[in-house]
Amino acid sequence: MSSDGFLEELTNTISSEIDERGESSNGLVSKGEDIEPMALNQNEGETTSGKPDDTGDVAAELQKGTSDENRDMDFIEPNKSTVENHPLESTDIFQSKQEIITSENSSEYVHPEVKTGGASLDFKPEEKEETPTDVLKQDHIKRSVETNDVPDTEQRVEDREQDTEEHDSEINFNELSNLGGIIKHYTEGTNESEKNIDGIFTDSEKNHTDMIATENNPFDDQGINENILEEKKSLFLKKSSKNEPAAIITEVDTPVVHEAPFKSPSQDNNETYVADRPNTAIDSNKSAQEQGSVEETPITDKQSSSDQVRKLPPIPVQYSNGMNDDMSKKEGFAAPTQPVTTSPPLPPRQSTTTTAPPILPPIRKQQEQKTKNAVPPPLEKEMKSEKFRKIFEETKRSSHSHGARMGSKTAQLDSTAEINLIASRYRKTSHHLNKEGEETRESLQEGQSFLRSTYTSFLENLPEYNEVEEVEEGDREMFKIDWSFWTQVVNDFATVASNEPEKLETHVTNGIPPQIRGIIWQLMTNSKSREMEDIYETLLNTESPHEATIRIDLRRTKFVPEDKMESLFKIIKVYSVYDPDVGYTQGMGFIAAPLLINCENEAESFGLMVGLMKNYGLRELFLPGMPGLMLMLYQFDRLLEEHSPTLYNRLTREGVSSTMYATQWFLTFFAYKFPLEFVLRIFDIVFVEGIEVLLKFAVNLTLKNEENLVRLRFDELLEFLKDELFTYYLLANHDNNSVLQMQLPGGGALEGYEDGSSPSYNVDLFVHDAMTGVYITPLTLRRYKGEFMEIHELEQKKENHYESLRIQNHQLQREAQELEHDYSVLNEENISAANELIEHRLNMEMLLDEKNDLVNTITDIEQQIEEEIRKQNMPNPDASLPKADLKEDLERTISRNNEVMMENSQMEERIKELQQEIDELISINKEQVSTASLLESDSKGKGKKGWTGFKKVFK
Amino acid sequence: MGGIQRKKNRSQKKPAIEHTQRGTERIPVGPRSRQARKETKRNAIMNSEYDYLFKLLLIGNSGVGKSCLLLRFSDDTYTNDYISTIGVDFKIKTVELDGKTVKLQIWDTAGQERFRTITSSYYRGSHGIIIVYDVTDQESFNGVKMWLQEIDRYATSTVLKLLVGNKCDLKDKRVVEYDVAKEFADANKMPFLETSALDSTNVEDAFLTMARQIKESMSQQNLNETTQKKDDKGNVNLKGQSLTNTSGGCC
Repeated sequence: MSSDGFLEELTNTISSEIDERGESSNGLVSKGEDIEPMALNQNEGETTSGKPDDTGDVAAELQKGTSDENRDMDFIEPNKSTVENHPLESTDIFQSKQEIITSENSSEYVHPEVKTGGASLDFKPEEKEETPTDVLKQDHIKRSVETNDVPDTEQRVEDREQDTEEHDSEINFNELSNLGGIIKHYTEGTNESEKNIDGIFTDSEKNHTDMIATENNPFDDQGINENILEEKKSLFLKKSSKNEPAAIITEVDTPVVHEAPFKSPSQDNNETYVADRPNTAIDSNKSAQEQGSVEETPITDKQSSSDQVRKLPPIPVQYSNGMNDDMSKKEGFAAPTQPVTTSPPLPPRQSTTTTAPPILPPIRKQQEQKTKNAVPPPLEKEMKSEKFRKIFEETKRSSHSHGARMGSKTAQLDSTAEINLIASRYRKTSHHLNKEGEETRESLQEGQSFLRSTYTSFLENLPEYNEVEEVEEGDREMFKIDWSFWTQVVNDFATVASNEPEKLETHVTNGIPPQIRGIIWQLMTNSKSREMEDIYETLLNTESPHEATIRIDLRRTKFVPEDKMESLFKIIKVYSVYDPDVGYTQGMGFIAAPLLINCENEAESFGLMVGLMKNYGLRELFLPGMPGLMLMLYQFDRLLEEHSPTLYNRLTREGVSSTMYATQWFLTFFAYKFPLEFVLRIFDIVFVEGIEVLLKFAVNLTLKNEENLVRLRFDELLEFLKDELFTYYLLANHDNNSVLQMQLPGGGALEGYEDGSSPSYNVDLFVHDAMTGVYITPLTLRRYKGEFMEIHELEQKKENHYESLRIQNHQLQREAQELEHDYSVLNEENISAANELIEHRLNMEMLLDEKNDLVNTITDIEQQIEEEIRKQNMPNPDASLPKADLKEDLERTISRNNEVMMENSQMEERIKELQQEIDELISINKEQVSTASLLESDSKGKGKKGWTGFKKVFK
Repeated sequence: MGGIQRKKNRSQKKPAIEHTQRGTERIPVGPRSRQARKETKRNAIMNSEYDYLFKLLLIGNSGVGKSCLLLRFSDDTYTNDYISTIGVDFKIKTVELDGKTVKLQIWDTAGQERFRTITSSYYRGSHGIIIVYDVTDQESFNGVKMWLQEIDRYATSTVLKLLVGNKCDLKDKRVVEYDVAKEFADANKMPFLETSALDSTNVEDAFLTMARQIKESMSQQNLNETTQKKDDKGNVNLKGQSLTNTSGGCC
């Protein structure tokens, strides 16, 4: 059928056209060859590993690995930056730390400035400690004294008086007029008084030069006798202001003795002149600025005065006579003046009255000097000579600068140094004594006389004592002891200490006889007094907050025999009440025990303890913070460094510091580990020379063991330093046993420490070595003290600075923690944000892709449409023809269709007719069948045949 | 199609992450690790005698038995009348610890407050500080707090602490209960032991505990850099993970 074929063709074309449009997205491949612009794109898309939906740009990027990586990097970038941020911030923290450190450094840089400031300062605190009343003021006053031209008239004196003492000028004026009158009287009447006044001014000048020296160079030129001078200064000031002749005399007397104690006593009587000249000489060496005017006047003055003196007849005799008069006068003066001035100038007055203590010994000393002064005038003349002046100058200078150059150890210098330690100790004691009130002094005096009487009774009993107690050897020992010397010491320690320090030292070095040890100790410290005993008795029942601690410590330490334990406890307890600032410090037991052993009763040993603590400065070692100990350790370090740099360096390099081993030496006077025989001897020396002498022992011990120490390593070093230093003095090491054993009985009396089996030591040698082997002067010590103060101050500042930094650091750390926390939170946020960003980017990428795809599709479709349009618009040559054909065809087909439909309906009708026929036939058939079955039931044989026959028929 | 792209991304990200890791590792080499290096260096020098040198410090109120503890540990002796320590004392004891020779340098300090000027300078150098109190003395236990403050103030922040209640043999006189002290020690994050220098209960343990603690912390310090590394790795890993997460999430 042609119409059918056409229909087929038509449907084919239509469907293919529809297909073409629908498949444009993916089915273009087939069409690619036809459509050129599309094919280009398509080709590129194919090359990019079958990802046709990538845009050209993206595809290009993907093609190159590197560019791809770049893109990746971009993706990671936010994260990466956060990663880097972390370290960055941490470095920030480090930096800030470094800043702190540098700021610390910078503060250290500041220190030099502080140092320079401190250099000028360092002298002051030092002095302040020595003389609590401000030195500056004194200095000031002194200058005012200086500038006021020297003293011919009482008017001048009055002026000075006004300058110096403004507080009670009225009273002083009154006094002054009296005193001035006296002075006038003296100047007019007797030559000696003029000499006295002269003495004042020379003295004042001397003081001034010394002051300048100290100002200029606090360490070197300060003068060994700084202490003395200070005292003298104050004393002099007060005296000069009051113009008490008696005081002046003593002033002239005593300081001079200390100034040049190494001179023969016979020289003493010309002290005024001697003191004069060298000082003027020194003056002239000084810068003239301050002194120019001052300098001249005194010199001329002196010359005149000395001229006057020269004219004098036998001065010494008169002098001594005058002295006696003065003494009485002085006491006469002292008595009225004291009640008058009650409040402000009380301390100075006390000291004025006490430079020449009203106690027996000083007076006796003066008397002795007076008798010495009485020795021939020729010497006096000699002393005026140029030669003597020069010698004196030299000795004085050398003694001044001795500390500066420790290295040079000529015998003379050494002796000077030694003397000064004793002298300075004695000075301090008397200085403390001067501070005490009248009553105290009286009771002290009483105490002294009591001690003296004890001593005399002891001496009286001595032979008896010998017979009863001592064996032969002991006898010898007793005889060996220079009892006369000790008697002298007992009777007048002051004189011995100031006049014969060498002798005193020698004797003490050899050991104070154990029998009188307690007495001598008490005399030296000036500690025995009713007052102290009263204090002890009253405080005995006061409870101390330290009691429990003391008991614990005493219980576990066998300081003394059991029966004395309670006494020891009492002493320490009472002291802790007496001096609450110090209270109780571990180690005190070591100090108290030897005192207790050597004293008659607890009160005495308590007195000694107070003496040691307060007068000797031991208190400083036990105070909270232990400033005295730190100072001593510093001094020890320096001394050791000076004496043996090798050893010092060795110890330092091994990391052994003096705090590790020397602490216990100084706090317990070596009693912590050392045998008692050592300790008692050390005590002897300490009482004479002061606790500074511990440094001698310490340095000596270390030096003696240098050979051993240098070889040892850290741990062994410490053990050795703590426990074995004194074994150097084990008897086996030395031959001279005999000397030793004689010393031992002293220690034998103290069962608490010793048992028979303990080895014996050459204690004598130990003490001797320490005393002669190590040279320490108060000057050196003071210089070290100055250094220490400076360092300590710096350290304090550093400490404070450190503390503040620490706090700051704490705060910063907390801040840093907070910031870190914040940072981690932010970081997390950042990460999530970054992740989101990436997600978004990827999404965007995808969307872009999709978009591109869509764009492509659109363009494709557009192109297809365009194509279609173009096709449609294309002038089709067959367009008109087929159209008409089609219509005709259509019409023909329709008509044909109609025909067919008609035929169809006809055929359907025919079918219906046929159907009806069939129905009819069926119904007929049915009737036939029923009849047939009836027939069958009628006749069985016939039936079967009939059915098959029917079937055949039906077929 | 997208799957291929992802794979490629991941493979190229990895080196990038490692790069950043390396950067972060280098920076935290701070003072702590430097110290650790010094420590090991020192140990190396003294290697011939011992593997470790630990400095211990004994602190605590006066009379709690610090010196006795030390004497028991170092010499295995005991004396009832041991003199109160003046300043500082010092003992050395070498012990074996996990096959290593450890030299213990033990500083015994005076308990009295006044000696702090001297003793305080010994805090800084010590690796471990043993705070001793007396179980029969409440006051000494109360003082522990103050001693902790001292440690805070003078010792390095990494110092290890140990609380020791001494004289636990005096059972009838006990006033500080074990639980109280234990609680206190836990609160302050330090181990706690009760000892008796008299019958040597736990004495060795106390010192060995301390030593072991120090050794561990030291090896930790030596590992400091590595732990630091781990930390950083964790950090970066987290980021790396998050990165992959996001790339995974996007498709």
